[in-house]
Amino acid sequence: MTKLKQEIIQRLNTEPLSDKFYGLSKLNITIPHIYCEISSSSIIAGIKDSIQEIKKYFTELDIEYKLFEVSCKGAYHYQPSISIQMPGMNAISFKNVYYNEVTNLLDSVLNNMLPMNKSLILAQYFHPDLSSWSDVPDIEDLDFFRLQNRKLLKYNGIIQANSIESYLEYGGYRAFAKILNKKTPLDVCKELEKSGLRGRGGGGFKTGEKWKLALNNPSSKKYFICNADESDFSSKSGILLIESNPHMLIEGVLIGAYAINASDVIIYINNNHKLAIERLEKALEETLEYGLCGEDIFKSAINIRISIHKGLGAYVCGEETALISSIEGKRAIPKAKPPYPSEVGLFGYPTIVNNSETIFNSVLVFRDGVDNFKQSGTYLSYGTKLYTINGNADFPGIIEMDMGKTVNDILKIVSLPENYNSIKAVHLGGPTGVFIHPDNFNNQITYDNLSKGSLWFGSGSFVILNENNCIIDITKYYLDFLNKESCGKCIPCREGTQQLLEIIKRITEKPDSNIRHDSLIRFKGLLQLKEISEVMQQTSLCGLGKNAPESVLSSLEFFDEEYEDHIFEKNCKAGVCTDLKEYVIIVDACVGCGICAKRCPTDAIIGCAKTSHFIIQDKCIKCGICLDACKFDAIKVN
Amino acid sequence: MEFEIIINNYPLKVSKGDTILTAARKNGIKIPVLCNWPELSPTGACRLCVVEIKGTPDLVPACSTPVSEGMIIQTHSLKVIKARKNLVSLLLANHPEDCLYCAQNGSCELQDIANSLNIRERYFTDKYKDQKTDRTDPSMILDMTKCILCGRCVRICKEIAKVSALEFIGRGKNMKVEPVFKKGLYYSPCIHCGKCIVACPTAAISEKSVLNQISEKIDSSDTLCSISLSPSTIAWFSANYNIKKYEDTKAFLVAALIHVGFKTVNTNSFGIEVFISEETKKVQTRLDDFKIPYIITDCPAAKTFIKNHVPDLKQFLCKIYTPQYITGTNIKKQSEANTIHTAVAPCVSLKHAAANDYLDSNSKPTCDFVISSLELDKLLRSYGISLPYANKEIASTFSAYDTSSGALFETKGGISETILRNLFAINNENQKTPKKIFDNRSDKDFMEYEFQLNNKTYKIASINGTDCLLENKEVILNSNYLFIEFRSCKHACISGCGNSLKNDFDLWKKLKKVISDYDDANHNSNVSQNQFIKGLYKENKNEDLI
Amino acid sequence: MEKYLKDLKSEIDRSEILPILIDYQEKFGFLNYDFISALSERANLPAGNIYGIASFYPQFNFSPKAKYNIKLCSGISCHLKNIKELKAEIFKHTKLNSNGFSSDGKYSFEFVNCLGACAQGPVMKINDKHYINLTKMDIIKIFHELE
Ligand SMILES: Cc1cc2nc3c(=O)[nH]c(=O)nc-3n(C[C@H](O)[C@H](O)[C@H](O)COP(=O)(O)O)c2cc1C
Ligand code: FES
Ligand code: FES
Repeated sequence: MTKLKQEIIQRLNTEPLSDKFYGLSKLNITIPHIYCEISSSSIIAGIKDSIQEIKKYFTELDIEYKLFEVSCKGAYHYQPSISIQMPGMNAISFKNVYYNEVTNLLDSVLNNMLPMNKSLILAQYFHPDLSSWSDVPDIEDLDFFRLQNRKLLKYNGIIQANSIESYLEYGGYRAFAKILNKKTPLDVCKELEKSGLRGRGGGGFKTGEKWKLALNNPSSKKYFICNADESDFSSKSGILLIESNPHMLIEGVLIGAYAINASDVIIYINNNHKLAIERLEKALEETLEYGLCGEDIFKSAINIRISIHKGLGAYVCGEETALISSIEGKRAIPKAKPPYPSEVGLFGYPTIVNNSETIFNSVLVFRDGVDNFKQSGTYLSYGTKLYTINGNADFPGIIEMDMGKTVNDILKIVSLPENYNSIKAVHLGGPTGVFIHPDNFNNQITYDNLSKGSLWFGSGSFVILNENNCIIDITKYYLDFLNKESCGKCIPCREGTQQLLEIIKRITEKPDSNIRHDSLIRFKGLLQLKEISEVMQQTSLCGLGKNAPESVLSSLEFFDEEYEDHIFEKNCKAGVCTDLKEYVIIVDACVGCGICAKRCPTDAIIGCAKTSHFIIQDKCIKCGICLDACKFDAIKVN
Repeated sequence: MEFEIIINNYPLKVSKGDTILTAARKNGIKIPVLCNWPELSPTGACRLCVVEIKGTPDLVPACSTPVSEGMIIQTHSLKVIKARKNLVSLLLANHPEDCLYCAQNGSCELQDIANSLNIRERYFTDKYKDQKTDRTDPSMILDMTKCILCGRCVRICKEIAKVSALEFIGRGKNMKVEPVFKKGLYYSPCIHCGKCIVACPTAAISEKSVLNQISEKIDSSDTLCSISLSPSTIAWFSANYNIKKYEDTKAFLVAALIHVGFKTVNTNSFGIEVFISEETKKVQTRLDDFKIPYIITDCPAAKTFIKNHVPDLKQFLCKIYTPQYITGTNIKKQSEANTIHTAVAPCVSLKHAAANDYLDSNSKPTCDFVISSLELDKLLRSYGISLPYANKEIASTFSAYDTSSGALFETKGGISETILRNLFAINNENQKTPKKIFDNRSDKDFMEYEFQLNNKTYKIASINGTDCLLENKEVILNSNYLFIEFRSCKHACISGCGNSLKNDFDLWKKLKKVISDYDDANHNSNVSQNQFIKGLYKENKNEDLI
Repeated sequence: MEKYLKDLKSEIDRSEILPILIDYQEKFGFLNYDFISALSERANLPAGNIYGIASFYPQFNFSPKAKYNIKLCSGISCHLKNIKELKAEIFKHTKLNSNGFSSDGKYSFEFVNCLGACAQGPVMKINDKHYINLTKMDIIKIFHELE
């Protein structure tokens, strides 16, 4: 054991990082290497079935091969995705390899031929000393990757998440070793401050400054917490990072704990992210074995214990004080700040809570150097940011961009030019984010509104909306989410979200025929929306309530014509708010064939054969099935 | 350390560590609050206490923000008031509109704040919460549709009562306050101390009222109605109607109640004094050997607390019935079969105890009804009676010879004080009983007293508050006290929820004053001087009266 | 449950409660009140506190789920793909009551936040099996198989 440790110390201190990087393409392989991208989403997409098929294929033919589980590139639309390197050839990547494609694919590739099904081919990893596949683009030339600035995601699709050796090979733990040898905690904090790294969790607080606060606290016990809750669900960047590179997170928390003199690190992670937890646990075991964490790390007399705390997904748990309560074994209710966690945190000790992406970035700072880090991004917002692309994107997935890029820059990557015009809006920042109107697509996305009109990325969720989506429906969706996920403690947040939701619901539903001046009442609702939003922003206890009305306010500001449409015309252009409509059967036209009654999912249509049918409005869910089913045009929409 | 801040354009000196709320209060500025409660740490849930601080864009809760030097604060600017108005309007959106029929009508804090913010219409509308009213308990009603989730009850039950019978359940719009496991309050660990009733700003938690039934019984010709007043109720009437002397109030009340139609009017002082005599006897037997602790309490909540929450101490608990029960049984024993007895008590725990005795014993109830002082006041007012009453009457037989011990008993430290007086009187009959042996005007929750008797040194302790008991459990087990007095409330019976629905320190002070004046003036201040009880004991050949 | 309790430590720290509850639910499918009471004794906490923690998360259920527990993703991506129709279809096949259980007790239904395959939405999960790229026809087929 001690020998192993010695060896690692040596390695960490001497082994230089190779400066040229050819991805999966490697020299000196003699048998086929298969790389399967495994992430939580690719598992659902069916990668496990494909793997089984691959194994079966090789055992049946009795060919020697090696199969590696690598991390996921972040491109969801390519899943399930595998890469293959044949001896002497460049590694080549395939997309959408469902289990039924496997045999054909391998048949060709093992014979150094491209598969018949050209849609499977993604790209190759170019290597000057290997022969390349003809007509297959270099992966770096693909627009999807070329237009990104992949720093954190650099090794995605390449590195093996479940192996510390793989991480060491790509330069892992060098930054920590350097720090442990040469830098005092204060140096670390100062260097981080110089790098201008700011929290990616939403607050945007300067990480270096925060660490320094905790370092200067004389308390004998301190905690460093990694916030990997990600219960926001529309943003998965942190989880992807952890799933692909758990060791980098561990290196980051080690640096953080060293910088603030904390002996305990807690990684708080949502129990729904099973794969991330599994890989983290494995990684922790390995680091313990390699002596990288635990007691007396590399004889430096520094003890850092790392533990994983499983939480259950609740959006408020992401809020740092709620997270702390949750770890303490209480209801996850946010507390009033001040005192900030850096003064009184977990169990009353000073505590630093950092977003996982922030921690990953801190490793970059120390691995590549401050200057290198500052090259990407813009003034006061340095580095890169991960965005989770959702909604009507042609290429959904997780991408990494420099800070300060515009919405258009992102759309160029994830959207086909022909669909460009149908994009109505982008919702940025998760449930507490904002709608962005195409007029503002050229504004920079950075921290706080540094320059006028710049946009705030929030959790990094990026939802593309087109003409088939109704802004009001999405506002309602997010409000409903926040209403359910609010902790329920403070009045403005609990009752405010409820009230906003009620008002918006009223707008998207069929007007109550008993109320006259209905449009007027709905219009009054609009005024109330603004009033409630103001109260919520001013008086809410935590960030959830303070930011909850953002969606409402931005939709009111930029998409007021949709509100007008709903209120006065009782019409939803996108056709989403079906509750505004009323389906009725025209008595004279109905022949009583009964097709509609049969098709109706809720049995809302009644009537005897050969006589005119009738729709029970209370049961009708406005799905429109009957409208399609009727051959006699006997159903009309009011 | 003191420094200066500016509130509403006036410079004020404040001390470091104060919150904005306390600083403002000290200077007579009223900031509305719904979730803040003096004994509890601030949670910042209701946000009504928000104030404007120069330099911060958002409003800041006064209850949980400490003052810092140079703060410039506006507590009632237009922005603040608008925010408060909207907050209360939001709260009212799903609040039932039955103020007129509500148990808290007139003393409701929400009503009060809404009124003072001049909210004159239902601005927002929402469905009412659909929560069933919990009527499982014989003495308390939980009507959670009226709950505004300020969390006072939950916190007081957890932090002060140390019972945790109520808990927040769910989150977001589904959050509510409920007894554990969705079973009713009756099946929860509740000890019925009534602290939550006092804390609740609305009528979400209230006492069960039986006033209408009593009125009917009074009117009925088949029954004879008897009533017994707890001494603190009498003190309550003294304080609220500004009658100086306790005895006057007692006489007024007796006359008034006879007018209303009660055949006999006694005070609970009788039961209390029997209680004291019995317990003195018991303590007398312990004079030689008092190694194991002995806990004396008349408080049913305190008894339940020990039985269910501190089982280690259960074996040391006194076995005697509550004074209310003693009074009730004796009155019933001596009167006709169709007597309906009503007890007036300062606390919901006695309501619960009466119902529970009945449920347990399956026999006829000792107290058919128990009402609170507040309810008695309502009853009298419904008969158009207010004090001082035109006539005075002497109480019925059981209470004609009351000593002031009965009243003193219901104040903090009263159990020890009265028992010790009696003990001294019995042991050194010649020596004049020292007054105020035990300083019951002290405000500490845990009090000790050391004294000499028959050349021996003894120690007793008085524990007020369930949290105090838990804190001092080891002390109780390890030090040899002659006896230990224990009550579940910090300010004893006079602070019960039947006397006031608020944390009314001023009222309690007044009650204390009335009682101590009565005690000072009354030289019959020792139980053994109660001729009636002496007589009863003789009749019963010194057998127990219970 | 008794066996589970036996394997548990006799003294439980407060911060371990949530992980234990999660573990228990994963093993047994639901939390029961007896377990919470037993846990509260070990942790030296009032049962109410633990019940309060558990009820904070709608993911905990206090009664067993049906044989087929259907989870339909209502994450933003799936929401945009019009899951309303799918829901209607599911309701039609399972005849659900308002409490989310079908009248024959065979199915239970709930909406969940993102199941993690947004690019392949709409997504549904029945017990442990994921169904992706759902259409109405798929649902008809799935229920046909389940019947
Ligand atoms: C409602 C709410 C939800 C949040 N959710 C998360 C989250 O899921 N992950 C996260 O890292 N931070 C989240 N935050 C931000 C944290 O409170 C905190 O600011 C962050 O962890 C600090 O880390 P940073 O300095 O690295 O950004 C949330 C905040 C609020 C108000
Ligand atoms: S009193 Fe300050 S928030 Fe309620
Ligand atoms: S939104 Fe349905 S899987 Fe993510």
